[in-house]
Amino acid sequence: MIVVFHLTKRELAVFFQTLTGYAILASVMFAVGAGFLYVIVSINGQAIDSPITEALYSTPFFWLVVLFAAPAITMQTYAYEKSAGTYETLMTSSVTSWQVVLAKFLGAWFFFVIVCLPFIGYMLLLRPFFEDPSLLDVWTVFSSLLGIALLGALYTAMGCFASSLTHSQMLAAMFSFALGMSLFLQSFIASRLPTSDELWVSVFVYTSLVHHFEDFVRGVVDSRHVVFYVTLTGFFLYLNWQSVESRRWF
Amino acid sequence: MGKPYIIEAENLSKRYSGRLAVNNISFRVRQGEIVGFLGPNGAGKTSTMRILAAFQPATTGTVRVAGYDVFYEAQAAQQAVGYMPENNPLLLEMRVREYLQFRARLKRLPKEKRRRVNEVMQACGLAEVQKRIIGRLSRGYRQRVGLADALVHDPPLLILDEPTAGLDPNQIRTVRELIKSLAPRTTVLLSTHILSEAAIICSRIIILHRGNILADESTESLRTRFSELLEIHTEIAGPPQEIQQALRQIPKVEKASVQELAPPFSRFILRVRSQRDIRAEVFKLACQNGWLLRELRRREHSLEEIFSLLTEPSAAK
Repeated sequence: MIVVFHLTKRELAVFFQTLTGYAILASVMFAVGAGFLYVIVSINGQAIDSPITEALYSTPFFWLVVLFAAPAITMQTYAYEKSAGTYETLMTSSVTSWQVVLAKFLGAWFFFVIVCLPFIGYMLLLRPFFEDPSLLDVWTVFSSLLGIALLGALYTAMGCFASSLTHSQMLAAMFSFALGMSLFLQSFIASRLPTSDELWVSVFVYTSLVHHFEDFVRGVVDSRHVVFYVTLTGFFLYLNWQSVESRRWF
Repeated sequence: MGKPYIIEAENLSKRYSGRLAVNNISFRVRQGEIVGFLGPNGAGKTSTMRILAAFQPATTGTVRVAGYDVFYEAQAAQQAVGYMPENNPLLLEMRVREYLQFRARLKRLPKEKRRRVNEVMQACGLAEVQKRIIGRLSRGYRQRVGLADALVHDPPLLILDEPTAGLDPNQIRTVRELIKSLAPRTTVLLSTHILSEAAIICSRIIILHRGNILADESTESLRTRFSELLEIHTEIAGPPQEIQQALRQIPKVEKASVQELAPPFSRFILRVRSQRDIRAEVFKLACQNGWLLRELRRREHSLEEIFSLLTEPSAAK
């Protein structure tokens, strides 16, 4: 466990020791800021009937951040080390594949969460202007952040898996973007299906990322949604582990 | 002799999607030896070393390092090995000291042995650059960082893949001396494609060629085997046929060939099978006949020639 800790620390430190990390931080802050501005302008002093977190979530910027930031954060995890050769020194220093998989995932995930923290800042910024504080409940902000963290866990696990398959960061980013985009887009299949097709509608609703996310931004932490995200994350970490182990297959 | 084996490789093969990189080789290394893997690029040196360091598995065959099977007991085997891969990859954004401490933690160096980091930095001459970022260091220093990393958990066996590649002559000398200073406490297995380097550092040389072991013997016996086969190049002015005849009369000369140069000089290449140096006799011969002599040198065999000698046994006899 102590090895995982040291490895995670180093994985996280890489983002702050290289320019990539700051570039990602800056672009995400820009996107979240733009989303915030968009919300403020569209509300324009009118009354709204949903929590402000939901309003922010429903802007296109939210998914933009998740879909683009996660591949950008995770693309270098394995692909860079493989192309630089440091993967060889890492894997020959008596660490197990699981330790590496877990540490790389945790490092990328923590960075993703750090990147999303300005989100809270904007909420706090808004707070003094609300006449009805229930629209900006601390717990709603907290549950939104939990939702973002869980969604981020899924997307970083996916990105790490994609990165572990290749030597090229570009390929890794494209593959994880394609994976993330397809998972996101399949959320909308259900609404396109005829309502008579009950079985398929329920299947697609159940596997929809959006469906499982909406409750978080409304301030509801439902264990079903948590289990959904944790299971999918675990699944991709398992695939990741298998791909790291595969160097021992032949 | 009599020391236990630290590497036992048996019937090792490695196949990459149809291409055979290592072809059923077996060798053993005793504790305290410095063994050189010698061979051209693509001979199977790196493949074999990666298997020994438990980075990739062998297609067939077994390897035990310090008594541990590198496939089934990979972690324990890796603990016994300090491995420096080809091109010495390092985490360039870290500082020297920070990097070595990080590596020591990964390799589970116990807390009470943390002073070891300082020791290896001293031993590798890194103390004055310990706070600098590795990416900004010169190649020679980076190589020393790589060596320090391999040494940091005090392993009984070092596996170094081309430790002197890309260094200037001074840096090469420092690295060689560093490696030599580790024996006999640490066993070293290193790879190189430079024969003279292997001859200087190693006590034993394993010559690999296209995945096969061509020779596995002590540096001393390899040297005597090939010093018996020499070429003497000489340039003498005079009648070529006459000189050639006279040179052939010198004992132990097997062959003397002529190359006409700008008159009056001709170049003669003598093939000798003896450890005796016949250059003095050539000189005496030229003096007696009043021939002008402007070049007389002994040419060592290049690695390529040794390969051809080894692959064609008829030539070596």
